[in-house]
Amino acid sequence: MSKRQQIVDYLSTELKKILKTNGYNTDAGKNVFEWRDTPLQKTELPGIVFRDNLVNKTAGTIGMFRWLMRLEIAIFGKSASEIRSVIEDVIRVIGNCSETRFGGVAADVEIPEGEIVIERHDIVEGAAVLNFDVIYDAAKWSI
Amino acid sequence: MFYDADIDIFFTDFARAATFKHGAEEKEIKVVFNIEYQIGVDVNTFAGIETYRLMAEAKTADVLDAVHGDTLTIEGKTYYIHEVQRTDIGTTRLILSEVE
Repeated sequence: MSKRQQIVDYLSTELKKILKTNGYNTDAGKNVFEWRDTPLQKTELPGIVFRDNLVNKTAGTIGMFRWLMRLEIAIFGKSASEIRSVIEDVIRVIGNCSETRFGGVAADVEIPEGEIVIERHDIVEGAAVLNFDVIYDAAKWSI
Repeated sequence: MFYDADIDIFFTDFARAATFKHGAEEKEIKVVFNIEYQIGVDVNTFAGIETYRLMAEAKTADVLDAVHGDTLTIEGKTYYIHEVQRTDIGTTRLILSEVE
């Protein structure tokens, strides 16, 4: 299995641990989706959709490929405060991933940017997107 | 082409009673209440959330002074006016929300 796949699987597993019973603010871990391309239903809020979107090769160790993989995490919820609570949960997950370096696979993690959007329809709905970069080394000509 | 008489028929046959509240002023009007499916918060090309928006179409003459934040009560439920869209056929489409 590629390192990229291992990192994505690790993140998915950790995001699914976002449950109040695990000490998090929310139960967003019940609704975690990878590369979902259909809209979430209201019963799936708060929910998280993530994707590995951009990969760049950067300068690294001779004989290895150093990759910088951008992971985008979209958080959907019913209010700004709920979304902020999930953001806090997700940041905590990313922190855990960073400390363990995604189970020893990654070299480093950076959080470059994020945004939040709120709309009002029949209910208040909102979303936030957190982007972070995972830097990892893979064997030459592999991901 | 729409004529005033056509609009009257429209609001007689298909409309329901609503209480329009603008500031302290309240009045009974007729509106055609409708729901339109839409996708909310489709940020950064993520697919967003399945949702719908509520709208009520009224005779413009009945809601000339409508502004954001006014309310419309239909069958006991109060909706907040979030958008006021005037048409050129004598009606005004009020985009509603259950939340202020």
